[in-house]
Amino acid sequence: MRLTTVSKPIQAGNILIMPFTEFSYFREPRIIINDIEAIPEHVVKYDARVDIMDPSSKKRCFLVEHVLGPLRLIGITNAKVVGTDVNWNFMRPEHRFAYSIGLSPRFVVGEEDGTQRPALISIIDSLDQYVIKSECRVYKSVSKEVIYENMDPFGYRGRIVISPRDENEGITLTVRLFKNYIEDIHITENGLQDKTLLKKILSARTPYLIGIDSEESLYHAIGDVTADIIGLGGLTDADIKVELNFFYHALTVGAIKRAQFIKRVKEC
Amino acid sequence: MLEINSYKKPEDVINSYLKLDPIKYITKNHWHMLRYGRSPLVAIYIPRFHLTSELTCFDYEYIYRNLAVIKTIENLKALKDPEVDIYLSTEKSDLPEDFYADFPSIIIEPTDLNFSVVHKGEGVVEILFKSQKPHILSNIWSHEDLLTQIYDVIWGIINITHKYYPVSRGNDIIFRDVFIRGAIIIGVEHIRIEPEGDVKLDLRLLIPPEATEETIKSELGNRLKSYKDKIEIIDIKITEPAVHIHPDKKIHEIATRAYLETFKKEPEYEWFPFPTVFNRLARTNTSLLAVGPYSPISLDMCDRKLFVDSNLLELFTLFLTKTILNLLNS
Repeated sequence: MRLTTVSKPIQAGNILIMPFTEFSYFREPRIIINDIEAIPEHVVKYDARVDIMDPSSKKRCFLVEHVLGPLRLIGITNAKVVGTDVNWNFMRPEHRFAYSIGLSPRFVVGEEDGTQRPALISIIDSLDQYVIKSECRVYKSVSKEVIYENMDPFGYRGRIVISPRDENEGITLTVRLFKNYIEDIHITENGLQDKTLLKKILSARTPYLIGIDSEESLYHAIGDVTADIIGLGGLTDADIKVELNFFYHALTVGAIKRAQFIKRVKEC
Repeated sequence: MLEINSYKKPEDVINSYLKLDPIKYITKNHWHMLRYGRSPLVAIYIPRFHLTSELTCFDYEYIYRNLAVIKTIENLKALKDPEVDIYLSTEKSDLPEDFYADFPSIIIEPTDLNFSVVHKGEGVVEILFKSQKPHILSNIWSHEDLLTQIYDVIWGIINITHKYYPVSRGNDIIFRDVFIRGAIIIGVEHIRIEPEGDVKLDLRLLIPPEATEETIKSELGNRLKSYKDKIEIIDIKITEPAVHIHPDKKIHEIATRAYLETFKKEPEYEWFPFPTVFNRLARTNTSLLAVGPYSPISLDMCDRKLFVDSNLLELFTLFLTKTILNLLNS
């Protein structure tokens, strides 16, 4: 698939999404948030949320899943993102953490209401005006099947299987969150084409605020799985089947941290 | 029935601790200097180590912390005669603040293994309740009306609500605490009803850093919108400011490394929800870290037996021992 970035800066809630210019260096899907590359090796917390940390500067970025999932679902594989929040909201544990270690609120890139990224809904019907496809054609998948299971602190078992797919087959997702599930979501170079579902995902709040059993939580979880597996892994083609438990980022990020990858760059 | 592993009574825990003969500074003194000819290299504070006569929920909340310190002292004593001060706190006035000003100091609190470098502060507020009626008890109907109005106002003040977060009463205690830890918490200290006179409410506050008397006033105003004609805020005082130590000292670096080695992950930072000895030490010392095992507090904890998680206790003790030894050798 062709690597895709934004053609101009987009303010989307509390983040600014900016064009990516280093395709010839990175040559794979890559989102850089507050100067920290969102890759599995940089993830330092993955339970109720996902945080990344630059190993050199020790700067930390909180709630990156609410950047990675939405971007990939609208077909953006490469971008530079900065947080733009300037006010503290100490009710949020991420803000208290950032304050403790001397970082500003802009290092918390998730929205305060726990939604994925509703500000992007206004542009999904006119994405052509906002995205630009590069000349880089890349294939990245897992080199062999990843099967990972874990148990959350409440005793719920989770299971994920990530299977390799051939070039141009895209991503297929099947997600179960307790009693709710959805099968065969297809994500291609252009993102998720089911616009109704896309809007539901972008506006869905986190299960940790509304309860794990609601349908909205499932939509939110689809965004999170997209972020953790496809976003952090930089995958272009794979089949993902997941049965989520409660603090499910431990399962999804745990799996992508264990994955081995295969990558081919066709043109760049 | 109360039981904590092999400890049947709180004094068993205390006695175990005392048998280890820690270097205690219960009053201001320079004993360490006299004994070793130089200042100690590390200090450990165990605030509110109360010498209780019977086991209470309070002891439950702190039992992990106390056991961890006992085990750490055992570890250290097995290795060498440590130049570590264990500060056994019984009363606030005992704190030899100046003496410890420059030492790397670890304050053991139930932080759930988080690193804490921010402790909330405290304040007081005096509110005048503007009642039009005399408060004589002989008019029981009038008095009952007054109490109802006071009740409504108090709940208006202490209730926490939020448009996104489950912070109000009745929500799950764990998820609620995730959010209210950063809020201004308001409680009632006194209600004074003078016969044929004023009604005054004295409130006690827990306040986050950055909060000023103005922000507290604004928060009170928000919570009391519907009562604004009935009450008047007379006085707001911050009695103990919230503190924030930037974690860039050697103690933080060493503790982070020890945490990574022990728990195989980066430490997380969280605020401590009320002021402790940390707030007072932070006035003169920036080499501070508050850390400790979790507090097994829950609404029903007094009704059930508590068994200590030995694995967690071992890990925390290992982390603490490593941190202290690395500080001593640095």
